[in-house]
Amino acid sequence: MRHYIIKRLLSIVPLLIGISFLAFILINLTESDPAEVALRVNEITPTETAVAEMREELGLDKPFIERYITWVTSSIKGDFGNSFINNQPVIDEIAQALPATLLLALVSFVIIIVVSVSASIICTMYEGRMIDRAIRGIVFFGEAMPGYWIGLLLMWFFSIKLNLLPTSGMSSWTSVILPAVTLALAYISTYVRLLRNNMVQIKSENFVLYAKARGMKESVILKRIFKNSLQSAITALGMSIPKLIAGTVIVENIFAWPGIGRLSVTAIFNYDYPVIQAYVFLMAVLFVVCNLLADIVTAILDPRMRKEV
Amino acid sequence: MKLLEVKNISIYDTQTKNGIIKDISFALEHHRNLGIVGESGSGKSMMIKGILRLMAPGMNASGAAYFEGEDMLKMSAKAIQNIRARHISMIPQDPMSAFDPLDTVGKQMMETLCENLKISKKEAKQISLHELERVGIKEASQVLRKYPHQLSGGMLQRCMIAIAAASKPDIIIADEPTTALDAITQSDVIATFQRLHTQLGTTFIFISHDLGVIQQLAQDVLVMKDGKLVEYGGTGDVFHHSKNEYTKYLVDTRIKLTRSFEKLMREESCDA
Repeated sequence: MRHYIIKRLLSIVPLLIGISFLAFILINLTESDPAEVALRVNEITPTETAVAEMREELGLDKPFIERYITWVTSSIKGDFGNSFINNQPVIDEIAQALPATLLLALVSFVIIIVVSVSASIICTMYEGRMIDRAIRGIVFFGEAMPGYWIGLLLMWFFSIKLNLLPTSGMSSWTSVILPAVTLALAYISTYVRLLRNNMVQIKSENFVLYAKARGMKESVILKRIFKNSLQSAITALGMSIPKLIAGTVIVENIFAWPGIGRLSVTAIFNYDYPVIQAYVFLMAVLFVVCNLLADIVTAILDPRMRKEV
Repeated sequence: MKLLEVKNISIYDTQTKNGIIKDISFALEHHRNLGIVGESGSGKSMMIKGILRLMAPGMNASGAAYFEGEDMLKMSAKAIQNIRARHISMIPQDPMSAFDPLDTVGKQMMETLCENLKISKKEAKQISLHELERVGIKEASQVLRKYPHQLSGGMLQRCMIAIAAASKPDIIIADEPTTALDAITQSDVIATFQRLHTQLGTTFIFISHDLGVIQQLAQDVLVMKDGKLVEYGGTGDVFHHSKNEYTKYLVDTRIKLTRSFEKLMREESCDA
């Protein structure tokens, strides 16, 4: 097991180098000159001398590789440079937006897990009966409806009609409910389908037959079926968690949630390159790390995965 | 009283109404092992699953199966679970896939014993070790710690036999108990069955297409084809004096196969 983890940790190093290089190169491929952009957003006329000065200030006159290495080494230390817009360190900007997104992500995550696990277990227990069909029908609709529409519907119903929850912002603790539910719904459909189908399939496996044949209790068997159905769901979670943390532009915008998603969109509109670069890089790292964690959890659960290493 | 009495059992698909088992009756007497033979797909396993109510959803069984005077097809889920746990143990085919791959064999074995015999974990472990040793596993404590994929088919088969034996059931139903095994393991397993039969008085039902095994172990035999009963009677009678075309065909094929095998072996030894 330790070998497996060490091997996987080592394997992400080249991946991270590749990602950081891509994140850096993408910005450099854009047609506009960052120096010019930096001047424009601060409302300075980009004369030739001003641009040249700015290029020197930003280090853009140095060779590409040198710039990349400088950026990577300072990024590792947490220094992503300063925002073009307000000249604040990028890391501070991100640190400010992150707690809101993390709160939203955490609440959505809990809703996703609780609802999908219980719904898929109910579906499996009553496979083919009314309740299973009803849940699958709801899930189908949930998957077909776009998130922004559900968000607006929820807002209309709970905030305007019933006046139970705040429409937007982060004014009280109840503010998180609507955006979190909206965000969770899209994932719940996926996970209910994934888990239910896995469990129904595993129900007809030989080991389930044998467990029944030797008189095991229904609940014990169900626990085994559930554990066996987790593998693909955990891999999928490895992708969903970073997606939740990366912030969802639509939900954060509808509910005026001051998170990472809104920060990144603002940065894109303003050509705030240091912020975009930092965002892309950090989220890529997050994806890699979460995938790695998912693989490790799968290996802990399944002894057959450990053997192959 | 008969140990198990099956009357006119039929199994059909509830959607297509296709019959899979058609009107089969037989009885199991104390200490008289029954062999069920027939080619693959003849419905041997399906019939047993039907009696123990282990069929896949969408299948339905009609008729009756009396155990100690009670119809298993009509009893509550709790009651049938109790019968499976304490009175009729079934050993399914394909030992390689019979255990939960995510858990050790020992944990699954002890879990079963704790649950079925209402004993503590410590007692369950002792019984497990003892039973595993009795089915010829030498490093029993090692085996308990292994995951299913780390053991061979023969080992897992013996673990299943040990679990069945530990619960001291009245009937053990073994579905293709020797198919997945090599010849040496096969004879070990057969010896274990014989020992359980004589020492514990367990009555067996063997499902097999290996006529040799059935001839060795069963006193009665039931021949099936396409979900129907072809012939049913004492093993000697059925195998040697059968009037039924299909049974004769099965037995003749078997004899031909053994002859050509023996001939081959003789040639080999001459060459050597």
